[in-house]
Amino acid sequence: MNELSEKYWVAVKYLFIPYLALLFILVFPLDFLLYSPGGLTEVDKLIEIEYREDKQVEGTISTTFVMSVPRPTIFQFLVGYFNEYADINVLPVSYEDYTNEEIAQISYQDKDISVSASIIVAYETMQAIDPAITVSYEEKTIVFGKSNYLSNYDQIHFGDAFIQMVGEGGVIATSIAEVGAITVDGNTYDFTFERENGDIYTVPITKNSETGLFGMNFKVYREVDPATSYPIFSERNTNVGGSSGGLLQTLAIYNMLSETDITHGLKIAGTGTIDYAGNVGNIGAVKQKVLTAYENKVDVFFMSPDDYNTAVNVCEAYGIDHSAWLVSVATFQEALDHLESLGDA
Amino acid sequence: MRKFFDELKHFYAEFGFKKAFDSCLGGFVFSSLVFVPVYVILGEVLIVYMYRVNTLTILLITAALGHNVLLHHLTKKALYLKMPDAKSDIHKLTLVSMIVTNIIALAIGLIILFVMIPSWMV
Repeated sequence: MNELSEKYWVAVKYLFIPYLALLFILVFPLDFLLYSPGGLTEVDKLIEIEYREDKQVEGTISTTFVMSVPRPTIFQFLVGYFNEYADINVLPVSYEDYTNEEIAQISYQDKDISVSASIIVAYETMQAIDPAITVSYEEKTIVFGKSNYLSNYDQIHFGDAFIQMVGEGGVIATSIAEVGAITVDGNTYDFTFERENGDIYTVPITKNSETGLFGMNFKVYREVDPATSYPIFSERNTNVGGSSGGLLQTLAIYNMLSETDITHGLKIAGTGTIDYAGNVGNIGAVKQKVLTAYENKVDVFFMSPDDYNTAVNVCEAYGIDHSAWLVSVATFQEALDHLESLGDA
Repeated sequence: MRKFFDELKHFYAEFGFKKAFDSCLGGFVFSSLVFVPVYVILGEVLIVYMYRVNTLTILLITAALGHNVLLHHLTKKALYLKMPDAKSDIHKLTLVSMIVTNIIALAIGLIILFVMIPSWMV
């Protein structure tokens, strides 16, 4: 090693400062949020249902993911700047208090909630046709956001379910809506939570006297109970977060339960959240999602009516013919009807 | 094959473990100084150009092969600098080692490209 050091000493000496500068550009993060096109994820790789396993499915149903890079490095910022498909925005205020790891945790939590909603909507829709199908669930209130003034910040994890809180005079609140009425600013109260692994813990949290808040956001969702639902389903761990796959997950689950193949041999993708009534919601990064679909040559791309106009503008800006594949749907049923009409054609 | 192992034995007898290891370490450190930024650059470009994941993975595999070539080249250079009048066929030994390790690296790269990436995209 010494021989090499001696031989290349001059080069090492002169390149040392530029080398450090390069490393700085490669690691120093900037407070921006970069979006760029990602790819397609076939839903049957994420969710498996033990039902009609001998059915032949000729097409594919995929969710669309985009790359969301919070705090890109200087180098990534420059690469994104020169990528015509990418968008760079200032980091949203809601992200400023979170580390990149926490942002990812919130995103995965969103994905879990969305898969649960998809299972409920698909199972309940299919139940009307096939009474053997049943789905049962319980409502949960989980921690979905934390402010930097939250007491015991590290002890409370994203996704922990709220169980109860002991308020003034020992009054117990079992619903988050009851908390405000039995608490006073500046006082500390015992909150009980349940972790995802079932562990239950109690933690004292102070109600901030300046904001009049405890510093937590909650989300209420329905968690499917696989033990009392039929058919059995299993969910793989995912590397893709967010709730925008809701509609496509619902379509794919419905197709797994259905006797007929609703894909008709087509490459189906799309984006849009799903609520428990089967309504399709709008999403972010429409431009990158449409361009991802275009790059992947999909046959049908579903999206909510709110996002459709943006998508059309994106297609026109990039000279893409959208007439044959971009489809606006307000509900899950509309998406099913559209696929059925393609089969008739 | 036998001739190669005889050559390897002769090489160890001539250089000893310490000199051989030190040369390899030098080759690894100096080649890594060059290629670690290359990996980071390609990794960061990959994150922004995820829709070109296959192309960029091929570039990463190519970089890994280049890293291996440079590692062997610098190891050979260090060995010659340590013992300019060495009798062992250092060129042949490093060439064979480079080809074998490059084939292994290529196989791992192809597994990543065709098996692991599709399973990660879930």
